[in-house]
Amino acid sequence: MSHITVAASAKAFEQMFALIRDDFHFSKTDGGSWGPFTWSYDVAFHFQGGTLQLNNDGTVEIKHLDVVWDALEFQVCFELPGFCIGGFCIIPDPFDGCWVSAPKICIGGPICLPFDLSGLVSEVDDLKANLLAQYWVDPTRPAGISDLTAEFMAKSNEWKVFLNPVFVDVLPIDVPATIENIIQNVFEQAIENAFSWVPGWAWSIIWALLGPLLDLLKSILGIVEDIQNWVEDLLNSIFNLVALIETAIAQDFAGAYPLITFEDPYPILDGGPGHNPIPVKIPIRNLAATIDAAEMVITADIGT
Amino acid sequence: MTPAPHPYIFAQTGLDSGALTLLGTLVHKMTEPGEYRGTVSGPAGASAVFYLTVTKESAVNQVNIDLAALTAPPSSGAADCGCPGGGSSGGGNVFTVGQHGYAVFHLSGGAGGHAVRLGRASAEPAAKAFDSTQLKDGDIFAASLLRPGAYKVTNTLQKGAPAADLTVAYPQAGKGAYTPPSPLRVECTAQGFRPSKLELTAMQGCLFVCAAPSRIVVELVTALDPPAS
Amino acid sequence: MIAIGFVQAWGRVMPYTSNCDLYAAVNEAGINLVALHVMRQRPSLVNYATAAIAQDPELACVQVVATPDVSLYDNPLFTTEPPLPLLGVETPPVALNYCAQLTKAEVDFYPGDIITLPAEMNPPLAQQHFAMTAQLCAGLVCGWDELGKVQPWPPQVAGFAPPQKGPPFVPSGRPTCFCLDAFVIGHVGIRQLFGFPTLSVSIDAVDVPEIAPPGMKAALDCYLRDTIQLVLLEQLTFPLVHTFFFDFSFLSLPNITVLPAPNPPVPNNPAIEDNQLKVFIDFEVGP
Repeated sequence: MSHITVAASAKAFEQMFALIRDDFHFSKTDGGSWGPFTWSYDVAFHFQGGTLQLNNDGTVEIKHLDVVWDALEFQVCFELPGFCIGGFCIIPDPFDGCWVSAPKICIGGPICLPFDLSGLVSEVDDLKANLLAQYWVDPTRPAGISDLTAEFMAKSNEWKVFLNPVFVDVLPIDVPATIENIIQNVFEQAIENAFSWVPGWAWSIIWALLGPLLDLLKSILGIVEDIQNWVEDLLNSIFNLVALIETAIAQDFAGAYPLITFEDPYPILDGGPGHNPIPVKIPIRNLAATIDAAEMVITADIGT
Repeated sequence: MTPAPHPYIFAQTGLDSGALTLLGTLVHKMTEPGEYRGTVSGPAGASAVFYLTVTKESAVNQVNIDLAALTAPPSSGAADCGCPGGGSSGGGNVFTVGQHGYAVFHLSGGAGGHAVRLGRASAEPAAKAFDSTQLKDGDIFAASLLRPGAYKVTNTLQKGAPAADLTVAYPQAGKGAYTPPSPLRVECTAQGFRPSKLELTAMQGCLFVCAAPSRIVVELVTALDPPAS
Repeated sequence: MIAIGFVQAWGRVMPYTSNCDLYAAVNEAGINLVALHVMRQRPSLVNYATAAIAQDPELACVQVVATPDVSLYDNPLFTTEPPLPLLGVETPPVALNYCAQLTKAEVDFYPGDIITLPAEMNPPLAQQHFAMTAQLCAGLVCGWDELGKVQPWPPQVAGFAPPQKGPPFVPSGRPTCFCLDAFVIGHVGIRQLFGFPTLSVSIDAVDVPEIAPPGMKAALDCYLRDTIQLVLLEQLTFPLVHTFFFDFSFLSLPNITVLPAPNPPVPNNPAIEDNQLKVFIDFEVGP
């Protein structure tokens, strides 16, 4: 029988989970190209909410965990064909076509559309995890020193209990139906910025030449679906933000945010000034953590 | 990352076939084969020489000669000249076109104000085969008018001939992108312009086909404000 | 072995936290290992001696076992006490070196199946109680051989120089040692100490069977009972959250209030049963 048994009810486990959930923050920047455009993003998110259930199979299940995007900024860059002056036929070909045509000057070039969907909320529909107890040794701890000296150097060994995901289901990110208006406005602003040297009287001509902006964008980028679906595909598949969340849970959340952590040996009596007296510390061994439908149970032994 | 600015395109509201700008193009038919030497004079004393070979052996029917490029190297912000018909430029200032083909003189950038003369290379002093300040029968001045408003068109070499009235309107908003209509053809005679009342929409070409010695000048009289949005 | 709740007498498995939010238990084998660690890492808590013996640990009755960190960080092996004065010996005063050591301690939780209590303690061990055996060793440097060095001070009358006052004469030598076994019975509770729920240990009785006559035995038993009770109160305090729950982070949040689980539903908190010390706590989440 283990020397030590500690049990935490589902109510206590919820608090433990809430602490690491609220502490977790993730951010990433990335870029790439996809067909006729290049893209980049700068994203950051944290978790919120979620309902928790302990199961008899040794897992905890968290459902409907909100992913709050503190930053969801991305940029799509492409070549704007712009508009051309000239190019008309001067001398037609008697057999149809054009024999001599005017040279044309085309004014277009690279343009970037910046988007900021920060504040969007998506969801981890289902996260199932068991518990993993790990013994951590500071890699910078000098060899041969005592555990007490290691504590004084802030290089104590530690026991950590992590959530170990066994199943994660992240829902695709939905964008609001107003995204079309957003894109329209962003594209318009980007064109105005790109052609800021154009005098005011010429703008109605330029807008007429470009035509409906969303149609233009779809034509340039080869979008065949509706814009809302395209943006969702951009976020979920091209940027792969769904996989990003899954990886963040599996590696960062589950690997860097322990539910429980304490130093080993564990101090039970404090030391005095100048380490006189030294603290009394108890070695903890064979720590294990399990879950059933009612509670989390931690067992451990006291070392000699 | 934005397209390069082109301030001259929208700043030029008048055109002069004898002082070519971005918005104008001169077309001259080369009927006699041979070696030709051309001179270009630009603003602030800029000048350049180029050579044009007209040969029966070439099937090329159009050669585009960029006067701005000849008188100064294009800047990094110069527009890309999507020039169909191409022609061949053998080495920057050497061009070739077939007999009965057309030399097309244009500018790809800059403030403009260029004139060009062309004469047989072997004849010195060269008899002018072409002089942009004195267009002759068959020459064409193709103009692109951007600024909506009322214009007056005069032929400064036909001083007694009446001017033409030209209006340029804003394009009407439609469901799709605006495509300028086909260019308007205007005959320039000793008696004036036919037709004499010209109605264009912005970006639409206007072809002044010379039937008499001509120097076509288009001047903006009244600019038109954009329609209320 | 993975714990999955505990089995009640009628065979139904109940969760540990069926009547509380958090539960912790330590069995007697674990407690005894903890006691061993305390004795090795804080030897001056269980070893007392005069300076002469403290400075020469070889003279002690039992070799003090300590971890290397004790000497590494210049911690003493002994708590130094003044020598024991000889009563009535004042001109000059003479005192004796001595040492007193707790050399063994073992705890047995209810049901007491390790320690056989002496008859004076009315065995068997009562429910919700613990028993403890301790070996106490002590030694006195009698110094009979050195009494010849003691020169009485002259009487305080005219014609004699006044005596030079100073520290007492303390004979040197190896102590004469003896060891006694002591039995202790006690129970536990929870009290608020410095704002935190803390384990409190109450000593109900101490018995050193080998001492006679009864009056001396009673006096010694009382001395030991007072000593053990007050050492526990002053030196060995164990806040519940830190000691039993590894300082779970969420319990120190400002909106969390930790409370011992009440009765009902928990009849004994802490509980001493099943050879374990058990603690039950609840917490409230504030705004």
